[in-house]
Amino acid sequence: MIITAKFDYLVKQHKKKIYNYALYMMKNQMDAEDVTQEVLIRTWQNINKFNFYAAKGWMMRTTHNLCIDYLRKHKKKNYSEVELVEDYRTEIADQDLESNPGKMADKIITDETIKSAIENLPEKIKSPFVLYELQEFKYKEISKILDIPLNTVRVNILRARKQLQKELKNYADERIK
Amino acid sequence: MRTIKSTFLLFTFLLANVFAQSTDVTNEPGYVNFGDLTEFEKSTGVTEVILDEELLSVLAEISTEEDPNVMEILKGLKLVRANVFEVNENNKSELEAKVNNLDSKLMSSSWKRIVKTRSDDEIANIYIKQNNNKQIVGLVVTSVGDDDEAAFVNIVGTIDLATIGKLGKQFNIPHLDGVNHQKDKSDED
Amino acid sequence: MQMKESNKLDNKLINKIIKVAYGDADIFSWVYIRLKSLTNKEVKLILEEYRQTANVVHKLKQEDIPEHINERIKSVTGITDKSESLFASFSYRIFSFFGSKAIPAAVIGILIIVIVSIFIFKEPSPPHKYSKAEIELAQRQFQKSLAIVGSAFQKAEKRFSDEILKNQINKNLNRGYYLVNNILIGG
Repeated sequence: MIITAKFDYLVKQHKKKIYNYALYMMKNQMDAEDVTQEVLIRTWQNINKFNFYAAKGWMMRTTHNLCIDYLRKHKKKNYSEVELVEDYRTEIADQDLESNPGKMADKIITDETIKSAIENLPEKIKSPFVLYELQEFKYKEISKILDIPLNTVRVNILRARKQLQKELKNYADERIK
Repeated sequence: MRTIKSTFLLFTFLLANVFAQSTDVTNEPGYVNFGDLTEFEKSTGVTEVILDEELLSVLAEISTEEDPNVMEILKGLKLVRANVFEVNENNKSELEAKVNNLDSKLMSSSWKRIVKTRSDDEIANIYIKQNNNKQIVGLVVTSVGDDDEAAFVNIVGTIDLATIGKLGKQFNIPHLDGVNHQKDKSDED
Repeated sequence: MQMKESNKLDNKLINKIIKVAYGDADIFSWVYIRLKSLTNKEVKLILEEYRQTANVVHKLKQEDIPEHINERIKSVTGITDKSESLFASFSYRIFSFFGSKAIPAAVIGILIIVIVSIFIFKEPSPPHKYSKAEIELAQRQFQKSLAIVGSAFQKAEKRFSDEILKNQINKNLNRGYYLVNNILIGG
């Protein structure tokens, strides 16, 4: 009973993080779903092997490792840009934007552009960036998840920020042209 | 992290003890888990009795004035549990199987069967659990009867069979005098 | 040499600007960069660019997990919505609440609970007050339970006296009654 409750709670707490991290890493929904499913099944199989405090880190570490394994085994071309646009449609809750289609279009492009730019970051700096900026993990947690030194986490996040800015600037320059 | 772990364990231990107070009786040697009886609860005549230590002590206080014998029985008890079911064609074989399963379970876990009766129409078994001082600390009765009733009774606590005998007449319980008398006769023979 | 040093400084400054833009700079860097941006247009521009990006990044919405994944997990683990115990889930959430907060707050919370638990130990809870009807019902139930016990003894006694003693066949049952009479009852 408590095991079921533990698993149920862990899934509810972390499934979104797992899925979204996998989406950024795998760059397509199908593979991200496969990874997510595998992580949750492994969590169930190992539910007694980790304590409550270690659960979050264990699940994300498993997600990251599975993503790396998948990427190594199945080297696919990035065919999913169109798919990404459909999947990553941003819901606009802001009424001001809804009444201003031009502004709305800009916002959609910006969100999707940024997501695409994040996806295109090199894996080494993308992982800590996604975990820190989007999943709100702390440096120490990221260090354990990715099994890299704390300072490397800080440096890679900084590099990712710079790289992202560079990509967006290139995109903006192209749009102006 | 270690601090959290140790304080959390301490907290859980203390909290478990706090909650455990109300379910202490299940750890008593005289307690028996009858298992899942829900399938028999579908029939119409179902009685469930659960009298915990607190309620039994209230009954003991009341009985002091009315009947000291009842008070004597009650004061050592921690739990009286009874599940009574109506026996019909559909459930009789399952009930008998349940009685037999419980018999195996109790006989393999240091309970002593002191009465076993079996006929075409009825089964009745009585088991006792004794502590190191030979005191009876648990009593179980399982019966499937010709009166269309099946019963599973568990009494936990210090039990005095002799006092139960004294109460025989009051609640239609046999005094066991007849047995003593017969025993004396057989001795003489 | 001087060029390298100025580049190094620039990099250091840019790193500080990025940290301020993304909101994880220390207070001293924040104040320094904010003051610098008032007097240095380039610093201000870089700060604004990074801040815009940071705002969008931090507001990116997380995708919901597809429903068929939930169904698949349920089919693999055998867990249904009903199998979650309310108490277990609630207690697990309480534990997780303490686990997810800052360590000092968690330790203080636990200490309070420990102290309260000790008080619970020391002071017994007041007895439940039963109504007259409850007590009468309990009396009847107790009598019923004893009657069942008695009925079992009665059946055994009847068979013993009518069938077994007459025939003097079943020595095991005799032994049982010997046990009951002599050892248990002390007859």
